[in-house]
Amino acid sequence: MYGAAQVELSTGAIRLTQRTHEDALLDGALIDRCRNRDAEAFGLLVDRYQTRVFGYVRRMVGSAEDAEDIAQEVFVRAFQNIGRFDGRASLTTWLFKIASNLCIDRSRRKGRRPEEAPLASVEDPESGAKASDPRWDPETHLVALEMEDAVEGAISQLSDKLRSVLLLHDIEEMSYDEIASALKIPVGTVKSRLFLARGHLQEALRGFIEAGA
Amino acid sequence: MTREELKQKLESGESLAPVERALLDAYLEDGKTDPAVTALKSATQHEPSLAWRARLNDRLAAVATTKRRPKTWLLLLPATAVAAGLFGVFLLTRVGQDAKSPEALAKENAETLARWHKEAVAATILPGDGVNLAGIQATAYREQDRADAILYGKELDRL
Repeated sequence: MYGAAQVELSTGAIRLTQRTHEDALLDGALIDRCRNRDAEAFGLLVDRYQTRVFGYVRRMVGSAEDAEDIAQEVFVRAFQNIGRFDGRASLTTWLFKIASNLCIDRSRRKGRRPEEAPLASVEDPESGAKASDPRWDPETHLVALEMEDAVEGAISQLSDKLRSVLLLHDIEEMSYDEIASALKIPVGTVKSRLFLARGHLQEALRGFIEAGA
Repeated sequence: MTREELKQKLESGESLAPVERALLDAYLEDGKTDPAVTALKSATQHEPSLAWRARLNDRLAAVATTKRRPKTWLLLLPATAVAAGLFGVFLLTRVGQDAKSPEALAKENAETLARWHKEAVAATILPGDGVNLAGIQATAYREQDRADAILYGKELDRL
């Protein structure tokens, strides 16, 4: 049983490695075309990354309007500077580096985010217990929605530093090294920020998780 | 060391010992399967709208058609260097022209002295009640002329 699971796991890992390799090859080919000002190739590149970049920026800045502007700026700058991309870091790292810098700039300009979503219902275990009743499908759906709100609320309550590391690691699945390169911080700092961010997240979602258990 | 102790240590900004770093790695590895992290990973992705993509395409098209303008300051650099050189040459020649011989300088100084003297004499002529201004002026001019003659050397011959 254990052996079979291990084989399955390692097969999955090989598949993942192959996919990552294929992704890197495709990115490389697209970048070569983009360097020759091939707009179509850049369009394909945007297709591949727009959801990830937009999602990251959206959670970093809170406001949908600002997120739209910043996410556009990320791709415009990438298009303008693709010639300078030396390929030492992955395209993902490079794009998220641009995105992080723009989010930091915006944060500096605007100061604290006034439109941060409140932690609705996070501290209300009673509502969590009621909503977690599996007999009611609409309520199960409601729980899922509330949980999602709680997750978004918990993310927005984090500082920019903790939030960026949490999103890049746990949602974008970037490695510690990639995050360190994108945010220009040591790997040790990445780890400590991730630990603290997860701690805040666990605390914020405790009511929901305990009610759901 | 518990999670809470490690958290407090990290929040206070203290550096970690090798054992504590290993513990941090273990906690992070363990945290991958934490329900809160799972909830985070399963959160809905925010998708950009089609309108957003259309606007981006327009912006990219505009950037692609805009030819990279050469840096104007690079083009202006040789012209600026030539202008600076010419200005330097002009200054040098002008300085050369402006240089005066000792004789010319002495003459100029003497003229200045004479002018100051005339001004000083004129300043002493103050009109008053019952004063014959015309007489004073005539005397003053005579004295002045004499001073001029001394300064310019005519009076020296007579002396």
